[in-house]
Amino acid sequence: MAPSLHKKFTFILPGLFLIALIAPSLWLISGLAHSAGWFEEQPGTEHLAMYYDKLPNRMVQCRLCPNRCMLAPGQFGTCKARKNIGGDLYSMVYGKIASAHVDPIEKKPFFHVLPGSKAFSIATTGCNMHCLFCQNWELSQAFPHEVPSIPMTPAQVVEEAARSGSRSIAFTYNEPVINYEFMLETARIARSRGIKSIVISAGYINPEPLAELLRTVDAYKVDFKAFREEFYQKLTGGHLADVLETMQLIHKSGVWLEVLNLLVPGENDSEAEIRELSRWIRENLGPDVPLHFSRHFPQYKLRNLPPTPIETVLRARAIAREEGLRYVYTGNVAFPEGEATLCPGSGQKVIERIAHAVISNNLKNGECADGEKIPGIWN
Amino acid sequence: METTWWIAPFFAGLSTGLYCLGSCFPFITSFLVAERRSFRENVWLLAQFMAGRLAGYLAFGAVFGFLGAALDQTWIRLLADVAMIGLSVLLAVYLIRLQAQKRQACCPASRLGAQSPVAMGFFMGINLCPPFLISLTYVFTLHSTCRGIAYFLIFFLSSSLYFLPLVFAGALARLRGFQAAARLGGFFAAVLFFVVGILSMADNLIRWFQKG
Repeated sequence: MAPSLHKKFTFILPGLFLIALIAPSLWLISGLAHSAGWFEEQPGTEHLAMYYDKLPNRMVQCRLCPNRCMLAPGQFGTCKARKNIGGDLYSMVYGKIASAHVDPIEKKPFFHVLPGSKAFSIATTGCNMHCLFCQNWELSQAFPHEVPSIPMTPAQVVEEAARSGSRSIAFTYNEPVINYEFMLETARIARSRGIKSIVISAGYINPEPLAELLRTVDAYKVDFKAFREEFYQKLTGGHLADVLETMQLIHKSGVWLEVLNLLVPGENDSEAEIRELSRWIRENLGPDVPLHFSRHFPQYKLRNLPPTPIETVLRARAIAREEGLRYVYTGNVAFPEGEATLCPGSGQKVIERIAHAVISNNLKNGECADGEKIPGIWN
Repeated sequence: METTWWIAPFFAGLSTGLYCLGSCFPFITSFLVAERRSFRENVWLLAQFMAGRLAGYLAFGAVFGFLGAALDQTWIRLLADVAMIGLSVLLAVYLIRLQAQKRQACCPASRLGAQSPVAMGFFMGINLCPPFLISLTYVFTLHSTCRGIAYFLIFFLSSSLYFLPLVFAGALARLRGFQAAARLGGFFAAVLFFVVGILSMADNLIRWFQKG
């Protein structure tokens, strides 16, 4: 045998054979360690989530919203806000305020809640729906680490709200339900300080957590997407029936409810659909629930669509009023008539608004000049 | 006629057999290459190993086909830990005795050394490698001892196709370098799996007590 060949058989090939023996062992061990969770992330300062079930093999199932995500260790929910860490569910957005502004409450829009007041508005990241037309997608479709945020405790949020002269704290911009624990705690502290809590949500939440939330907050605005299940499935990732149930539960609880419908051209703006929605609201929630029709501008994944024609928004308002709803408003449209609150009996303008600003407010203790009461939170 | 009873385990074995081979490779190969044997002896050794593996599979199939999902996951994992520790000890003992034997002028083959391929195959059979776990999940749903046994028998047959070429690995033992590598690699695997088995067992026991 030639010396080089001998050397190869003496050292190199047995060496490779040794590696081939050891490599599967390491590969197998790493698989075992992974399945046992030895190298898994450990919870740090994250806040333990509410409403979840522990499942075998350190899996968890979230019960906060109808998505009911089943998560393996290390997995985020579809909301990108809740994560399974070592077999427990944690809120990854608790106290991570990605956006904080002082807005007029009309911007939310709430037209029957403390008109002309300021709302301390906060948001985190994430959403349990994935609307293709989302107007705040930079926040709602992001993971917490993708967007800069400032750490705040619920008490600090209330303190900042009070300092800014806000009469309410608005959980808005992204879906606040996914930051449930923080919202609940903040609302409790705010109530003790005489500050209202208002929720701006798509209404995609399970009845049990909703019931607990409704005991703490003062007003709820549901961003209603469409009166068609196909629309919900195709463009939002949610389900119509769950949102309808949410609206009924809010109304029954006595928490003030307003509904907003963003009209997306060609998708949810047909006369029949608007009429059905208006009729459903009148029959199930009553004629006094304010309904806002808002104009869509191309955003996120529906940039191909044109802005909603102004006539469509005005027509929707007319249809809803025909169907017997008393307080129907328009948004994202320069149409002061659509922003005014009218006394249903006399038809007189009692609150006039232009672009989120209250121009005049002649409502006295929630009553028109003729004594007719207008429902809402006025003081 | 329902054919899924044999199609499912056959293709499960065929598709995951390479993974099974990967799991058994460090043990069986170091066993085959650590000593110089004739081709016939290697065939016999591999056959013993496979018989032990089959016995492990069938025992699992019978027990889990009968019990279904009633058995606690922690118990299954503890059993797998015991198997892993047993497997490591058998391999280590074999390699140590082999080394000791070499120093003596002449001695009979140790009793443990002669029996260990079957026992190692058995422990290998009841180890919880991922393909095995997937099969176990399916067997849980059968709720029948016979079906459980049939499933693992076919799973064994199709996955064993990948093991057949190993019989030729014994030829490497003709070269001393390969023998030494097999002993070293086998000992490394034995120590590694022993430590991991102990750690995993402690982990599972802690979880079991916490649950209790």
